[in-house]
Amino acid sequence: MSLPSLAQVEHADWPTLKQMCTSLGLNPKGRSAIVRMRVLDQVRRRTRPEPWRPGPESQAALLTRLGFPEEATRVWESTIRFDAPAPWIGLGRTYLLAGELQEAAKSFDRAAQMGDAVAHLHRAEALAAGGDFEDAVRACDAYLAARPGDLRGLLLKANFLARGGWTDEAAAVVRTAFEAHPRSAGLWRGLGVLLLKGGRAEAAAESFREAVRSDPKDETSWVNRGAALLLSGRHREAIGAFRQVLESDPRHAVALNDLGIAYFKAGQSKSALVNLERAAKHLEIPPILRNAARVQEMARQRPQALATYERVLRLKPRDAEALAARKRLLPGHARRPAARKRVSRRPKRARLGARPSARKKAKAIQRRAKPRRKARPKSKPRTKPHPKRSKRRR
Amino acid sequence: MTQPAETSKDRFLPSVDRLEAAIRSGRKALDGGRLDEALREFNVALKLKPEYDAAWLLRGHALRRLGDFDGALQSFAQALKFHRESEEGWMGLASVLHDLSRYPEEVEAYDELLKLRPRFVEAWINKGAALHALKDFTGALACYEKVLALRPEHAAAWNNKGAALLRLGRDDAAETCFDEALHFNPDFYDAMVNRLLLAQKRGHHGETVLWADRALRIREAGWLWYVKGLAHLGLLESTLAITSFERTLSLDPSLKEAKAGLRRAKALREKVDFYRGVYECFGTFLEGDPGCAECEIVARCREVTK
Repeated sequence: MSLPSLAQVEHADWPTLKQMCTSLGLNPKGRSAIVRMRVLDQVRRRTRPEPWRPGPESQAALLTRLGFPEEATRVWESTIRFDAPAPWIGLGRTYLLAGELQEAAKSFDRAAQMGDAVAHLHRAEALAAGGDFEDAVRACDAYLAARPGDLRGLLLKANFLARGGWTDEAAAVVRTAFEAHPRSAGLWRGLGVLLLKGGRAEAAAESFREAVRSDPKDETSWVNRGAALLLSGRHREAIGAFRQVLESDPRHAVALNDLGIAYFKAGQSKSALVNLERAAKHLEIPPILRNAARVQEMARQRPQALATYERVLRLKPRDAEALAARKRLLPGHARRPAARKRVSRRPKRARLGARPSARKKAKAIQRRAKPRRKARPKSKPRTKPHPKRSKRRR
Repeated sequence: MTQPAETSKDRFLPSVDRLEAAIRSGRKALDGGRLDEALREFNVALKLKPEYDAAWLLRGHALRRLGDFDGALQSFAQALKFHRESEEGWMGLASVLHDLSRYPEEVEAYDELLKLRPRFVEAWINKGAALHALKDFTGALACYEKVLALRPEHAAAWNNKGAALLRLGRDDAAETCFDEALHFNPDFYDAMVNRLLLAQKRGHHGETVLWADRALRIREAGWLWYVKGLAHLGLLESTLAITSFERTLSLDPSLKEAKAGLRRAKALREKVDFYRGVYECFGTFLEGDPGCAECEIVARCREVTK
């Protein structure tokens, strides 16, 4: 007898219920509601789906993911059929994991011959892993011939083109992808990054402008737009872009850092320094600290610059730039130019502040020229105490 | 020369890379139960972006699992400060308040959430449970009614409604609710236990044994064996009562009541010990039932059935 349905059990009369019990090997004695409950439990238990057990394909895929390529290859080979491309793709992935790129490409090729278009993309990945970006792009083209305008294929192609050094072509492909998928606003960002990598900062800035137009809250695009503007020499606009990010997130360390650099390039060292120091406060990483130290050094704040370089060395003890800067900025080192010392007529004095102007210099010479004299009592009684400076001079 | 921060080759936002990596590894650690590691990663993420509500939420979950409820509460509060409409944030906050037994505030949290999502069934259920804990059974009942209006097949709502009705003294309505809960989920342990407690309250020993057996098949508990033992005593089944009390004491040796029950059962065995045989429904006699009409021990069953 086949298993009755739950509805059948629920609506069965007493003789049918007893019959069900007998056929299912259950105890038919007791109050009818309890017997019905017993049968329902049994039916429910028997109709419960069997737990999943992995087949050889699943085992092979798991072995590949877990990093056992040899065992995975063996299992994949046992599943290969001449009319199914999937095991060939699995085998190819396993070869790829084992580093056998040629074998992987062959397996993917076999799957592609069976009509699996995705195999072309796998083949492209295998070829790209071996550094053959030209053939990888060709494989992507084969995939796109089967599925024209497919976003994944276009993006992979753009990626391989960019990695192969054809950034302009990569940008063109991303542009095509955007035309085919106008809703994928994130592509503008990708295009901008590619253009920025290719050194076309102006075009990158335009791409990022499109990205922020579609999503004005996209901080990444704002910062990247600022970077692109900065690289193309449009400092004022770059400052505007970074300020836009900082309006929504005043602690955005990268935006603060980039804003500092934009100010510095615009000739506003003080603002540059303030922003760089804030950036370093929020995100203490060597590149930001190095930027802050450089600006401090250029603003003749040597002790502060030295301290910042020391912070860099605490994070990255072998940082060549920081080590060189420390050597350069250490007080003893800076005042020992041996050749100059020999030719100078009088010993040089350590200059603590900024270089005095010509007028100040003249005043200083005058002061030195004056003979020292003792303080003479004045005729009038003083109402104010002497300023400290004059006292010391006396 | 100075350059934009780490104009790195791959991305132009190193902090975003780091943020994503920290969140990803934190999530992995949280899923793997490595809570300290997860917390460390979320702290790194929050250092990079202090106003990142998702990181605050994950930090809250990690702290809650670590047992630092105050810290978890602060984290969820921070998450809500940055994203007030966060469903997960309100749920997390309410659950921590529940852990801290701050039920009135828990109810307020669910109220806030329900203002944002009036059809959020889980929030209604949890609000009902919080009101139940505050002994506001009428309020709890209203919450469960709301859930059942949205999802009439919600077994937990039926069970909770039954529990609230039981506390309000409406036993018959409660019984219907438990039956509904068990209809939609026949393996619902809580509903079985509530059904058992209702039967015990009514002094229906046969039903108590029946539901105790079913509940014990799912999860064993000392007190369930004890209740079953008491019901067997009521049905004059001293051997089964002894077995039940002995099992109670093996699970919870400190239960004095079980020891007393065992003594009573042993004393009863000197006088009477009924054997029910294959009839698991013993003590649930129903006039006119075809099964009861064919029963060999119907006379005895009728005697012990209340």
